Amino acid sequence: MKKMLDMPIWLKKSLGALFWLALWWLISLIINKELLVPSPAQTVAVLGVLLAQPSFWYAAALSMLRILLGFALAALLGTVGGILADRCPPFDWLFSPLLHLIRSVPVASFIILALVWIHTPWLPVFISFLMVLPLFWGNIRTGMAHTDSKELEMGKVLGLSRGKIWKRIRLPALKPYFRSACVTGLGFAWKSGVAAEVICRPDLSLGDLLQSAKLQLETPTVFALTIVIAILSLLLELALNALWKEGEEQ
Amino acid sequence: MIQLKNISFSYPEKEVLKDFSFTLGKTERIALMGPSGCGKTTLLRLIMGLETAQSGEVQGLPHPVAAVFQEDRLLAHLSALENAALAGEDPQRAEKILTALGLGEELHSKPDALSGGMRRRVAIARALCTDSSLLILDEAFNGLDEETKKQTAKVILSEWNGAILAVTHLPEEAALLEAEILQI
Repeated sequence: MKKMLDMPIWLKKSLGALFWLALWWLISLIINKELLVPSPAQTVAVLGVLLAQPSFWYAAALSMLRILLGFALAALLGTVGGILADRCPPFDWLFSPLLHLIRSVPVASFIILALVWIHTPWLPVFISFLMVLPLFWGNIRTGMAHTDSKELEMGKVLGLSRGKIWKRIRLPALKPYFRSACVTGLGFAWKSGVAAEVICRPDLSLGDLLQSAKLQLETPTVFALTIVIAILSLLLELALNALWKEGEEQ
Repeated sequence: MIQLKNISFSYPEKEVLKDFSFTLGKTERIALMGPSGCGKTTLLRLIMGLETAQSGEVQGLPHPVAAVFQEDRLLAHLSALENAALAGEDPQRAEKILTALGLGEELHSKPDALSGGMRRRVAIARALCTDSSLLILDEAFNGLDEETKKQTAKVILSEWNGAILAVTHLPEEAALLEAEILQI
């Protein structure tokens, strides 16, 4: 046990993944029906076929673009909204019921409602935006409220300009809150964006491929696409962390 | 000249200043002394514009004020040099003062890498680099040993030409600043 505890973290995580892979393989062996649970080997074979199709790559790229666009819009407007909500109480009173509603209503309800109003290719953008917006809004508002009042007082007494107070005191204080919203929000954006694609089925999207595979009872393809979605989400998270690290070093 | 006439100030649970009058000339140095809770820090906050007197007259309050607060209030993400030059926009002056205060080797260290006494001196350097006619020192020598206090006071007196208003519990610190003691 002590030997396992001393292992590097990547090895521990790889062993964990290996365990679940083995369990999946074992279950597929026991059930022995591709339609219900395809084996890892069958899934990898389908994945190979998918990867060889240019349309799959277009679908993955467009899905990612839609979701990232929704995420970026939410990051921008959520940050501005969170700042305004802290600085201007009437603004906060006006928008807090709306944000509460967005947080509590299931994503499927919004997708079905928005399907009536929004042109299909834009729906995943809107849904990703809607699900991530309250996260940035809330985090930034909390960050604003938790900015050290003594530091702000110091800036005021020493006569720092408004711009300098933002640059030197407010923005550094907001950074951890923004980062946490980015990490959580990216996962949210993926889940809600792909869910929207599954329901509204825009052309060239992972959600459409997923829904088609389900309707044609191609369970290995559903498994393969789910793995692709998980990997893309993980890669985006890693890219975001790397970007953040580089920014901090600079 | 700063003038406070018949100032009164109360917190919800306590009255701290009542009909208090006070004048500080352009190059005067005053050390405020008195028991805890007598209103020394409140008086400084009134002069810094952080509180408003409930009655009385206030004249000639400067802005900005070069202040050393009871806590260091250094920005954790900035180096000692960047903290010292925060208000003054003159890194060369900040470097000169930090060096005079014995921090020449620590210019690029972040506050969490400095000892309590070093952080205190960075806060003093930041105030000395602020373009103001008034230097406020709220227990500025806390955490400094006797030798460092002497050295720091010497730097303050050589680098500051305006008025000084200090809060201290020790007459020796008032003497180091060559300040007149005012009991409140």
